[in-house]
Amino acid sequence: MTEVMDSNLVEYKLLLENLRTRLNVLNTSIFLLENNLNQTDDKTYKYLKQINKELEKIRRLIIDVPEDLLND
Amino acid sequence: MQENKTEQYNDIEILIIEDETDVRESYVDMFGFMGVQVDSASNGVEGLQKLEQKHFDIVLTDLNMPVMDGLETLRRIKKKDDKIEVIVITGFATIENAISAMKQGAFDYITKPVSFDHVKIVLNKCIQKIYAWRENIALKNSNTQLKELNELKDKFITITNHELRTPLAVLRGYFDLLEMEIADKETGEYIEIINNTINEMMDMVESMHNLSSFKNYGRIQKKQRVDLNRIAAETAREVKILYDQRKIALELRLASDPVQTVVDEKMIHKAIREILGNALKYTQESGRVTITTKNIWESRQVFLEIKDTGIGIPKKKVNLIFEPFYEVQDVLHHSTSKTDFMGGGIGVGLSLVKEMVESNGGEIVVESTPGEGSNFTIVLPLARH
Repeated sequence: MTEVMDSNLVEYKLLLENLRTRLNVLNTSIFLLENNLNQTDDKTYKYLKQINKELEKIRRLIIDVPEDLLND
Repeated sequence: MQENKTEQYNDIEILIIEDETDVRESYVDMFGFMGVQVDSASNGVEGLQKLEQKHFDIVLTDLNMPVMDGLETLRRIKKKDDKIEVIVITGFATIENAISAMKQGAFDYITKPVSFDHVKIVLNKCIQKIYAWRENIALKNSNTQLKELNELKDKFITITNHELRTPLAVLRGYFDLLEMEIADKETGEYIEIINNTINEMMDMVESMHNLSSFKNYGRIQKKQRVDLNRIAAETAREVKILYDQRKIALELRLASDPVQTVVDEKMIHKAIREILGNALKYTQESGRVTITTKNIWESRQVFLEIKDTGIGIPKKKVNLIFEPFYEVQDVLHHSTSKTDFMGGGIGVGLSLVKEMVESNGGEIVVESTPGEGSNFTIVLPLARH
């Protein structure tokens, strides 16, 4: 089977690469932000918890799932 | 008769239909030397019975036979499966029958007395035709499989993009709430970076739906007068956290005057971001990356140069780095991280940078010394005053 990437797949991989870089920036920035905040405040704590939860969902969508698909 | 087997065609099956026993056996010996799988039948009826039990690629049949002659056998074989090639054997006096057989789909004819060399030539031609047909079928099948796989991937891409929007939107929402609780001087810088990054991710996921081809990255959306100093500073601010993590210095040496050019700002921003990402990947800890901007009044151009003290690029490979899917490091260095030193990637970044810069009327130049670092320069036209 010839290895031909259709353009959609190329763009998708590039999108993933860019999203992963930005996710990295987000994770680091939020980590640094957390270190600077007073987390005894209930609201702050709750929002940060949700933010980290959504970040984990995004991480799974752009790292774990595509690896299975693209490594066939 | 030749002693040696000259060709090996052991994936080809031949059926010989010949009523004279000695002649039939001599054909079997002849084809055996050629390495083909051979079976035989003494008349057309027997031949057709054998064809019911097993597939043959080629049938060699005498035209002049009792019970069922060669022409009738040919007709019935072609009716059963027209992909079976039939070669007829005829006496010289009955050449019209051979021509009639050709018109009814025979591949070729051989005249008696049969010459081994002639048989070999005809058979080789027939076998090449069969191989070409098989290869065509294999290509069609793999094309179908590839299409199905791509359809599956396309479907997945659509679903993933849709599913990415939701957590991104939720993230945006919670971050907006958090921002209302905490905004102060100390956290302001992080908040700005987080905001910008979330916006970029949302833009990217949205734009994925509009992407229809690789060349979209070269498609200008909107050209306007921009100051490269500003774009360079903004992009540097975005990636600084990653550089700090890797303990690599990121320095700006911007021209004192505005460095103005007319370009698609988003595209140039992406190009600079990609080169900075590359510099980060290939520069070791304690290294340095410097962004410089210049106006070159004499040639009416502007430069933006990104210089790193990284691993550099071997001389022979410098021209290849802008080819799609090319990666300088070997596969042993692959890692899933795109920002770790020598982290992996799919290698399309620089090819797209080239496309993006060129579609804005510019060019990208690279100089590199292995072990010392690389210097990427984006050259763009100076905006008119």
